[in-house]
Amino acid sequence: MTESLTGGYLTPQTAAIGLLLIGLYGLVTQRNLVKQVICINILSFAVVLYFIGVGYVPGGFAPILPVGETLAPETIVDPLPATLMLTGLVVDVAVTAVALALVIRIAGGHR
Amino acid sequence: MIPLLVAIPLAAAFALSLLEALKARRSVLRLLFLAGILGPWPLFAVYAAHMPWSEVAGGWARISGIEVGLDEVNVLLVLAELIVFTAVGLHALRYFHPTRGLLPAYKAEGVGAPGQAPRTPGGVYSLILLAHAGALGALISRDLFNFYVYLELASVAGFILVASSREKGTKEAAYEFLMMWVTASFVFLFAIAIIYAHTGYLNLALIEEHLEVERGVEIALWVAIVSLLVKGGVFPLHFWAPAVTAKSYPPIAALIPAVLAMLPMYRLALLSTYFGEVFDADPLLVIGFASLLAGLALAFRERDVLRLLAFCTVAQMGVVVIGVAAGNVPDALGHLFAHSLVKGGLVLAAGALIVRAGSRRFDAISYRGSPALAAAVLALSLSLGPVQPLVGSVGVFGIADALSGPLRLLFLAGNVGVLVLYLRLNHQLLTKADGERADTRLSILLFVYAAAAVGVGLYLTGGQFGLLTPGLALLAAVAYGMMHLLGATRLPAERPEKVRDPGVAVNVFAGVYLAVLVLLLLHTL
Repeated sequence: MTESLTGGYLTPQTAAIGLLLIGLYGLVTQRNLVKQVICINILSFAVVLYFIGVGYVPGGFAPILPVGETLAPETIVDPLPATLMLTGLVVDVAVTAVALALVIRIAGGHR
Repeated sequence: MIPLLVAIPLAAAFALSLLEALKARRSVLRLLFLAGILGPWPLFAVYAAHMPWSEVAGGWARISGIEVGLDEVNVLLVLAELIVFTAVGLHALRYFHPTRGLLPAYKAEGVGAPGQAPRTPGGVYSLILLAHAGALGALISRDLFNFYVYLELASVAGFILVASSREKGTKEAAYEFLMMWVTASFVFLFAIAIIYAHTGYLNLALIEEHLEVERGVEIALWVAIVSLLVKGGVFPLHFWAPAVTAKSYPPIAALIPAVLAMLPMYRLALLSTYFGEVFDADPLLVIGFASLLAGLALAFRERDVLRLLAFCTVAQMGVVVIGVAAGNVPDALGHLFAHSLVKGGLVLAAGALIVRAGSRRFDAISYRGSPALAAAVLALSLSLGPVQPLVGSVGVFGIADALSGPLRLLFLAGNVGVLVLYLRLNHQLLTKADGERADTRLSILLFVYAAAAVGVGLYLTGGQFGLLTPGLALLAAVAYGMMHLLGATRLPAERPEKVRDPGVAVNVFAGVYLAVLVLLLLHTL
């Protein structure tokens, strides 16, 4: 249904590019520091979505095979992007924490 | 076991944080810090003696593991990193000592708030070690995602280290630094994702094997390059650099141009090599020359010695970009090595003067009272320009040889400009009569540092001395003399320093970043 409405153009990758542009637009237009930190998070989610989209196989299987079974390689979802993005999200959390700590210090007049 | 190079400072940082929380003695913390800083040296000596050394972490096949290595491409940069971190570590011990440290006396002029020592030096030590681990990891990694992770480790530590200074305006500078670096990081990661989607690999050698000239890869390469230019502080994407360098504690300020800006430029040089088929050098050549000339022009306008050195970094990164664009990657990397070594020493030397004078202004500081420091500053200043047989001459003359016609002349003129800039710096530091004596221990340390830099230069050039050096030096002296007579070397009028709104600054910076990105992507059409 969704595919018929979007003509097949709404893939995770195109959605990720849209998110990336939204994040960059926010950084150019939003003066509020907290909103800017949210924009950084939007950029991070765009990257995660793109990576997951790269590894995703429609109708595919998770790369966990019971003993003795075999699957055609093209039907297995690539696990590497998901693994990478777990690390990417950790970086995102660390950076967001530091950014928000700085925002608090700036707003609080360097107490 | 090359990953041990990274593991030693990382483990020391963790242990240091834990021991500080357990209220261990300060001497134990300082010893642990020194162990983390100096620990990678013996390993480096072993690996460098058996180069090229490459391994995949965990013993996996290259296709499914993370490859790290040490070879003639990165060995000099790892050496520069180790030298700079050793000097920064020794300086940090001298600066951040809670009772005998130099920071309690440090009052930064301009914005005016006293720069006191941080309450918990152990935290600063841990962060320096984390930055050390991240920088080493980023230099030895041959995997794009792994490079991103290590660069983030070094930069997150860097954000907090910058913000740890107590001077007014530091938090704003650290925020702008963070926002621009993180934006560039995520956009860089996006480019990595596109490259992975097209090639199926993250290892640079495997990417090169499976690379096909496609529009997607070309776009990804430019997106990655612009992000690296932001982090390298290349004009017009340098906006985060001057305030961050000026407002950090001196040992931390040395890390920004000498190490943090070096890592992305190294990766840029690698990308140009491994993506040779889709790499288009012309736009980079324009950016490189713009950075060299604009960096110099901005440096001449500065009264603040640390901001001057930061703008000089903008110019030097322009030299590296020109080298990469001219296809002379070995000499571009050679110049990156020279810049790291020299700029680290110069910022530390400036810090030793500033901390005594209580001001970053040219007209308030002098090295006349400290001959050892004066010799160190003079030797390091000359080492950045086209002066044989010093270390900077290797890259400058090598890159000049790769250029031809008017571009070669413009490049050499830019480097004469660098000499003029440092002639003015030394002239200013020499003429103020009532210079206070800098800290003796720091002066001796910096003298040894400068002697090591000169020794490295002699080793790399083989003592070679061409006729072009005296010619260019004479040209620089004449140019400086004429500028002096015309009054062009006078310091600009003092302007009251204002802390800018970080929100607006990020808007403007992100706008410039997007504009450069769009222009370069339009160029690929």
